[in-house]
Amino acid sequence: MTKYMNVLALALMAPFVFAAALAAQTNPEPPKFTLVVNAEKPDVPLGADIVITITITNISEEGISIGCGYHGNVQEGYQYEIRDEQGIEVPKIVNKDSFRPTRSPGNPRPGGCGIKPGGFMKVYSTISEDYNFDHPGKYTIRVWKPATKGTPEKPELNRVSSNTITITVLAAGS
Amino acid sequence: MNCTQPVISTTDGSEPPVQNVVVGQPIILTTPALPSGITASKTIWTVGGTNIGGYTPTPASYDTASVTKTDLKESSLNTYWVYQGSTIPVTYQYCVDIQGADPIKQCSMVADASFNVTGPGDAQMTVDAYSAVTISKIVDRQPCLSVDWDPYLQYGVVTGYDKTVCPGLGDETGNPVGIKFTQPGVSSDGTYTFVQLITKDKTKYANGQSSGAFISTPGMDGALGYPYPPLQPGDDHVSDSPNATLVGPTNYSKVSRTFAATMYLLWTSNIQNSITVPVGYQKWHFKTSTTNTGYPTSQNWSTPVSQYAGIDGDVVSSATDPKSLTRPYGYPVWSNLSTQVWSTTNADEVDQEEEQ
Repeated sequence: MTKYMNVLALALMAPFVFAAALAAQTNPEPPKFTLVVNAEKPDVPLGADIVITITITNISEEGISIGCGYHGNVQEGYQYEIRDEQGIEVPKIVNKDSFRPTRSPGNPRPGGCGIKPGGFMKVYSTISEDYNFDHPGKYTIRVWKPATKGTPEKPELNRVSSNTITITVLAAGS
Repeated sequence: MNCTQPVISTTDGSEPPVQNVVVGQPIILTTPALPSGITASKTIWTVGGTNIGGYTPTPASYDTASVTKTDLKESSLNTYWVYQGSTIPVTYQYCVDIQGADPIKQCSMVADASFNVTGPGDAQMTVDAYSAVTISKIVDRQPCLSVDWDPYLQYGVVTGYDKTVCPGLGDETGNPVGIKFTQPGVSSDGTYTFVQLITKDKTKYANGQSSGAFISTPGMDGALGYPYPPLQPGDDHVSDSPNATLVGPTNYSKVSRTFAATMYLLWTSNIQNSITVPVGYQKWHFKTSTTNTGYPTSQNWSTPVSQYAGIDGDVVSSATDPKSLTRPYGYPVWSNLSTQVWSTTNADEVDQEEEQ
């Protein structure tokens, strides 16, 4: 019998699809990055962890350094805008434990994490650790961070905001 | 004659032509179809060197990571070599099941192929580890500081803005950082990346009456993500400086932290669809505590006493590490991200475990 062994080049594509990001600012300098959030699970039982992913993409032509690291399970360096279905801003959890430190131990990266032009970084953030999702219903979540360093005259305009996602907190037993 | 699917094997015992490939490059070896009406009852591949069938995570999902073995029973072979090597042999043989025929003659001759596998070379990352845990107070947080968590129990020394309250594009500065991992130069044929696994992390708070601890589950350090984004031009390192606030709703008399992690250096060839391969790893840890001599009325934290702070031995080359001979073949694998929980019941139990 005759046998052959042939070698072929593999040609698979690993598709990466980024959702469009929102950039709301009037800063004369164009933003260098975009933010996209996604929900790990869009429907979660009441009391369960709510985890989002944040993808930050460098859309500039130079490398950027983005603050990265955790305190507890919450990714630091981002501002979270969370509202319930009445549009009421979800408050941060007040530490009711008379002993537990207000801030969890951290694992920061001094100097931040570098992202090359066109590159991205994806991080997890367990926002239910800091925010009070205390009743069933739909919640909208958006994150933002300042577009540039420093303290601009109108910091509210110096932001890069993400898309808005909706998470449904299910009643117990549903 | 066949240009796109060259025959690379020999069956007469002669030395097969050596093929040149790169670690992590997808290798697919195929065999021609058998004559009509005949199917192989058994297919036997043997592949030398350290090889795998695949490595997850993918960039779209990195909450777990595992290594699959090369499937040696299919008619085609899909594999990746993990480490460099010369004249690595691959063989193929199949058998058919024809009733009435001599069983010994129902298997083919063995086809032999040979590969040279190259990679990034033997260079390893360099590691600079600070030898102390400090009490760190960041003084340069104004004007945006609204809440102050200072002081911190800090591996290394950190100064500059607090990036939580001043979330900009640079933030804190390590001077020096706790630990710094630098890639071995620039690779023109590929890209270096890092990933860190946390193996132990417990921060315990105590006063005269109570104690509690933040305890992390072992897993991938999500602060770096996976794959860690390619380093910026001119940037060749990653760093880590774990910290813990010493401030809480009550004054503490003692705070301690035990932290252990392993940083992996990986390399990915520029060849399309290549997977990353391990280059080396460095274990490191610290175990420290500080006492508040002002307790219970104020805070006056002592210089931390550390049983250890730094690296655990030298960087280990994945290619020569005996552990790489078996699954997961030197790869960093994990089943979850490392997550942190607060516990008041386990705080002392964990202490007892550590002392054993």
